[in-house]
Amino acid sequence: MMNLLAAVRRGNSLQVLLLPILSMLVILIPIAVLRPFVLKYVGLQLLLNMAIPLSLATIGQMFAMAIGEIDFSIGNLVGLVTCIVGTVMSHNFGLGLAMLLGIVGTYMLIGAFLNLRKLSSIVVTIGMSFVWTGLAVTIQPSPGGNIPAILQKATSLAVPFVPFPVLFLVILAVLGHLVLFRTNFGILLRGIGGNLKAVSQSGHSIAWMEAAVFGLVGLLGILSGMALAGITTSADANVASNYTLLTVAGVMLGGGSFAGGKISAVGAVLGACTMTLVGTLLTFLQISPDWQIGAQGTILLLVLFLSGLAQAQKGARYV
Amino acid sequence: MYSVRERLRVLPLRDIAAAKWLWSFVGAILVYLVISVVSSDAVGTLTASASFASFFMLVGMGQMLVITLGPGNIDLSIPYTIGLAGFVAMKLMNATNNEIALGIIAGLAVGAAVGAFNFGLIRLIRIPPMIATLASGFVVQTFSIVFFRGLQIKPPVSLSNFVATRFGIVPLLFLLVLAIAIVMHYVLTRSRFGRYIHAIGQNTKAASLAAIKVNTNKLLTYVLCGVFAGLTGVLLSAFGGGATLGMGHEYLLNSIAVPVIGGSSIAGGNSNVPGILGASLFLLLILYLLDILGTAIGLRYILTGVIILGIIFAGGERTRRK
Repeated sequence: MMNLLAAVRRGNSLQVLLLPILSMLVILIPIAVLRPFVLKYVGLQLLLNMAIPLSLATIGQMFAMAIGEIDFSIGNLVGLVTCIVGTVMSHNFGLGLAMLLGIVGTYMLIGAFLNLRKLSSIVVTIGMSFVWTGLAVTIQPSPGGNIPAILQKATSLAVPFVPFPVLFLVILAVLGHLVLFRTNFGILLRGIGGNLKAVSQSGHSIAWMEAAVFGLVGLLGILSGMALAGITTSADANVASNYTLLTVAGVMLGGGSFAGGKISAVGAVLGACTMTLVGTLLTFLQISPDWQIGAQGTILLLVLFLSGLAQAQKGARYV
Repeated sequence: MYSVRERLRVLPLRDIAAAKWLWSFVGAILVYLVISVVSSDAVGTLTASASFASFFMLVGMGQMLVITLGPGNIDLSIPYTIGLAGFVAMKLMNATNNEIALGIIAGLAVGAAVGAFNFGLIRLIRIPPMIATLASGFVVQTFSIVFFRGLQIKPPVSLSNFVATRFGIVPLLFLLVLAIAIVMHYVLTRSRFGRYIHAIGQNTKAASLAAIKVNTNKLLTYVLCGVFAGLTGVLLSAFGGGATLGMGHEYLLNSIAVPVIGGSSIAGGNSNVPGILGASLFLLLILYLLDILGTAIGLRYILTGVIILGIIFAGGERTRRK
């Protein structure tokens, strides 16, 4: 924990994390008041279980947004991965593995093409979302499948003292942070988001960088899908259809900006937790899950509105 | 004011767009030739395509207006607006012929409200349109889920008959939308509003310095896009025997694919209505071709995505979002 705080302080000022922490507390405190049980070991395990796959996908989205791109297909990819691990891999492990590698390769190609052909990532990834869902529906037309036991075990590890999801999220946040702020890759990545021309003119290949970043996005999407398959124990093409909004919301709640360059891994993980907790809070308040996605969208807008008020003097940025 | 119009008139709108949009018609004709080889009822396919192409054209025109506003401008709430507008209209019409006008107006009003809400978010919260419309889309979808899920209200008979009317092989719906498209073509190329939004899309700051009311015109554009989506929702519900939750889903990709394939730049600043017609027919004919060939639903998704991506890759936008 000290390590995390120190890392946070070095890279980003704590001020950046103030909003993500506050917005998470706003959701977490009512949950804890309504059901004090959730703060115990088992409670936290149940509460934050679903944050594992979401935060993996959110960190993926964060890398894309760090270079000013967006992955609109990540939810469809996560659904496809649950189908691959749940249906293909149990019959033919090699084929499943090849498909996963193919996904990473496709992502890298997309990254390179975005740069070489000057394409808009939103158009291309919305197109890709059809391809991912088409593949997923072909593999597994209706929810089902047979998730390997190892994935189910891996997502419900019993760790002493700290509930596994908490441990996992902390490690993920620290790793993401270190990649962003302590590696050459991270420096270039943030550089592209901040000033593409400067990075390009310093002799770095932007196409390779975008390929690498998108490869990473694909990889994190795959890990997310595996985690989700382990938790839900089913292969379902549409299981993560809301992930596009939730991951973008997670990154933005975490202080990331769509303009690129300004980014926080710790914030993104906190944002993903907040989005997960919203669903739980609604359940505890006995509000129909029908409202969930709208509530998540509204919370995103509210937080962005509040953070916008704080810097209103800086003038309109996007309009 | 006159001098501004004079200055805007010299923008080379036509030169930018002239070549690209023709390809969408070439593509449509090629696909139709293939259909006429493999299908026994090619003319029937064309008629059916023209009906659905009307919906593609409506959402495509709305999205094109928004995209014209320049880098980053996009409306991702269209699919959900279609759904909500359809539900509201069907509910108010309540399957009776008396309230058709009320239902249509309400459907359009839903679209206008979502459009105004979208621009309000973009302007007041200062977030990119992509995020704003994504979030508002989910809020709109929630309304549909909460208030209208499971509701099966049939459209009034006379409205269903109206949208299914054909003159020979030409659907009335298609003629109606064609008329709207012709009006939009003249609005975009001849009217002050058209020139203003092109100017905003090419250089917002310059447009603002040229005394163009940037925010008013942007608001109007987002509202218009919402109205187009609302109209699509009403007509689609009438055409398909009622509104459903997932009714608008396929229009997310297609609303963007239609203007892009039709030769409008995704980076904004230019627009092309004839291309909307060509691209809509092209995409619909491809869908029907896949249908005739008996393609499974999964494969159809994959091919739709791959074909659209292939065209976009091949076309290669030369300018990009900042």
